[in-house]
Amino acid sequence: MKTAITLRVNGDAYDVVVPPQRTLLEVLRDKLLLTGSKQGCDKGDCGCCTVLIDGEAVLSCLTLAVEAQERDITTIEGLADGDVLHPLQEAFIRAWATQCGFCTPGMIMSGVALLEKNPTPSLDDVRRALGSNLCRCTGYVKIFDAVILAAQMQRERAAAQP
Amino acid sequence: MLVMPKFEYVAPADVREASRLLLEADGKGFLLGGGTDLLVSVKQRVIVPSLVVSSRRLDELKGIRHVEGEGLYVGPATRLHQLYESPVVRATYPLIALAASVVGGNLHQHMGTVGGNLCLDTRCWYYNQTKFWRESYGLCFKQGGDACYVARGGQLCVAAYQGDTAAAFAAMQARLTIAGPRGDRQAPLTDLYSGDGKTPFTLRPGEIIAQVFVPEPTQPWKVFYKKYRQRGTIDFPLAAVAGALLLAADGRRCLDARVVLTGVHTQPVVAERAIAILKGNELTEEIIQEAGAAAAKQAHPAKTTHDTPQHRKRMIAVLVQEGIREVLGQPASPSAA
Ligand SMILES: Cc1cc2nc3c(=O)[nH]c(=O)nc-3n(C[C@H](O)[C@H](O)[C@H](O)COP(=O)(O)OP(=O)(O)OC[C@H]3O[C@@H](n4cnc5c(N)ncnc54)[C@H](O)[C@@H]3O)c2cc1C
Ligand code: SF4
Ligand code: FES
Ligand code: FES
Repeated sequence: MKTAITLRVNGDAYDVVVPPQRTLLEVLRDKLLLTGSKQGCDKGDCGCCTVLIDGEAVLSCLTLAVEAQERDITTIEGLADGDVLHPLQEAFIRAWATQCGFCTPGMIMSGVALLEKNPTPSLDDVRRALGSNLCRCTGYVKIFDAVILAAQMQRERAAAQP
Repeated sequence: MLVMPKFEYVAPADVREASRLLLEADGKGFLLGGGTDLLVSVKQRVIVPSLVVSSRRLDELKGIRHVEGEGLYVGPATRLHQLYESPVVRATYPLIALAASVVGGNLHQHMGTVGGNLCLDTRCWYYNQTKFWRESYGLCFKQGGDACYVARGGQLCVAAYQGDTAAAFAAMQARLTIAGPRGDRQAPLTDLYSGDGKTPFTLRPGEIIAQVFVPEPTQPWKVFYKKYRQRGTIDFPLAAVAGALLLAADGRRCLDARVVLTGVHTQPVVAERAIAILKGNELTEEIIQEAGAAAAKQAHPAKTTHDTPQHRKRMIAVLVQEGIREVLGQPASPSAA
């Protein structure tokens, strides 16, 4: 039976009517047209569907949309502040951490969840936090570099603030 | 794209109500924890539920409580990361923290629940596939067909139980409270597993794990969790060992031991023979080797994964030996000494 639910995504409330078997990823991409979150394996293996729910990184392909009601969902589209990119987005560009780009939104969302909890991560912390995210292109080194760089940029931005 | 079939969904706030709804669904109702196992199976249509009962609002199933001098009460809807992020679990029940920290990858640990991990369906190359794949092959026992492609000519499904935390909980002698439509019952964790890969759990219709209790260790056990998997960041155990050793004051003689294997049978296996060898003996290199070999004898992996059963069996010996050496503060391989 279809249910009417409200999803809070990137600060906006969306009223949608969905059947319970619909995943959060399907609703984000097909109903809300937020196609930044990618559909790769669609079964929990690759992490390119990663979004934040209440600040916690989760696989949206294995989350029912109905389970995400009343919670705060953040997708890759919600990171930039107007034209100002999130430090992690900026760092991905600076560190050349993207090749085909398919894994990038998921990598960034896992990285954002990490930096929220741990603003000074070690390389091991980064490897662990991004452990469920697969990349078939880069070999990971530059992705990890980008997260470490973002942590540094975040500290600099914080210090520069009056 | 793996579109799920239609099902009904409810999110009750009461465990008894959840249990009643599951019972009424007549074998087609499933409790949803983090969904990292169940929803994959639904997507592949190895499971086609008529009803999914969410644990989202079942607050009595959530959280960790430590009672000094008594033990640890873990709600089955607790997420795995909460175990290893809990200071008390890390300090007093480190084996459980260790096992939880190597389940899948970081996101699986954040989504996956303790109950879902204990009730992880048994796995097999011929089972964890899409409907299209399975039908092109012909359905096996576990899917309601009449053959097993692994143990050809056999009468039982030998799909592997590949959950990590069960071995750790079993080594810590955990007990379950199981809520059913007619009330609660208690059972040792090891009784949860039937040994039949097709119907791996002994839960009766409508039953839900309501609590996992771990008695507080009264002695300074030294523990290890060793896991062999294809990729270190994400995969299921092809073979894994949870171990706990109680050493005499000399740090060499083993007063008591617990060794539980996972990934190498239809259920977690208490490695009694290895335990008998370790108990009461000085942990010389010879005893360590013997214990590893004895544990491997109790491993019964079948050809359910890409790795060979012989190799997984062999890895059990290696993991047991590495674990014991680690506890003794020795290098992983004796030749490296
Ligand atoms: C890529 C990948 C890698 C993985 N690697 C590992 C691994 O290395 N080790 C490992 O152990 N697992 C692994 N998993 C499987 C899974 O992520 C974990 O086992 C997880 O803990 C399952 O928990 P869940 O809450 O998501 O379970 P769910 O999918 O929600 O449920 C699983 C089953 O348990 C039942 N269940 C849940 N709670 C209860 C309860 N309270 N009482 C009775 N039944 C209950 C459900 O009805 C269902 O049948 C992996 C999964 C993926 C996709
Ligand atoms: S072990 Fe045999 S019956 Fe069981 S899932 Fe594999 S092929 Fe099917
Ligand atoms: S699409 Fe979700 S994990 Fe691959
Ligand atoms: S950049 Fe192509 S998959 Fe990561």
